[in-house]
This record gives sequence, C-alpha cells and structure tokens, in this order.
Amino acid sequence: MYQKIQVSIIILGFFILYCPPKTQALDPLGLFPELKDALDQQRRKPLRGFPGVVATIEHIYPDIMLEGLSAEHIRQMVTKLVKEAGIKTATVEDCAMYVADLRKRLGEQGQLDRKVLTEGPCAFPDLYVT
Amino acid sequence: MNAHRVEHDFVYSARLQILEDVSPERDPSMIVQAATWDKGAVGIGTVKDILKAVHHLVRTFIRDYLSANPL
Repeated sequence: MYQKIQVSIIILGFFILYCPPKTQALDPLGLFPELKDALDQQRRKPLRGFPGVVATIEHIYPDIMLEGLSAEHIRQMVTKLVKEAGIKTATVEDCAMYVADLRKRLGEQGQLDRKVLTEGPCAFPDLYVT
Repeated sequence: MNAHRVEHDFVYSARLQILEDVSPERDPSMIVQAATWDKGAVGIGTVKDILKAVHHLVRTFIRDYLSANPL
C-alpha cells in the first residue's frame, strides 16, 4: 500500500518536473515575459511562408469510432477550421489531379518529380492528427 | 489519436503536427519527413471532449500560423 503511494508520488513528481511547458520550466514565476515571447517566436518560425496544408488523420481508436466519430469527420472538421482562417488547404485527390495534369503537360518523369516537390498542392505539408 | 476506454469515458491523447520534407544539415541531398511544428493534448472525457481537444489544437496551429504569416 505504502509502496504504491510512494510510486504514485514519484510518477507525479516526474510528471510535474518534466511536463510543464518550456517557459514554465525555464521561468516558473513568469518574471520574464520576453522569454515566453522569444520561445513563441521560435515555435512559429518554421510556419513562415507555408503555401498551405493537407489534413491527414493517422489513427482512430476503434472504440471511438463506435461512438460515431470517424477519421473523415475529424479531417473535415480540421480542414473547415483551417480554411475559415484563410489558410489554403488541399486534399490527396487535389494532389493526384495536379500530378495527372502535369503528366499530361510535361510527360517526362524527371521534370515531373522536381515540379511536384516545389509547386502545387503536392508541395503542401501535412497537418497531421495523430 | 490514442484512447483507452475507462467505463463511459476515454483517456485520450491527441497530437497535431506539421510534417514536411526537410534536409538534414549533415547531408543536404537527403530528404526526410520531419515535424516542424508539434502540439499535443492529453485528457479524460467523452468523444465530445476529444473533439474539443482537437479543435483547440487546430486553433493553436491557426494562431501560430497567422502570427508567422500575417494576412
């Protein structure tokens, strides 16, 4: 009994020590708001210049699906929210159509690969729910 | 999205990531897929709560995106 409590306290302690947000760990009293701003900026930096996103849902626990929630439902919800915010979205089908169109126009495989990587909906990174 | 049913509720974890093709500095010719933005949530609740958590993660992404790319 005491051992169980001890183990729980150790796990809770570990959780509190290692799981707070970065700024809380570095500045637990919030004395340096500029530190929070700097970390926010750092987190947002990779999002600069994004052309758009493709919403992809990886895995839904089967019991959740029994409650009527599907991967498609979540994908639609995510796409709708992102679109409403003015961020471009594409689907896997958009990418397939783009590739088919390019194939028709370019033909040559080498040129197609380069084009697919740098332009159009296939170049959109995945907004991945996992 | 992982979940485990506990009676009528779920213990869940949801994660939202931006995955894109990047090149490691040690070999720029190599292209690998990596998460360049990542946010997660854990909680206990119903399917409605799980949806709320995903909604919140997407809102956080939108806020960060718009802050990095003002319209």
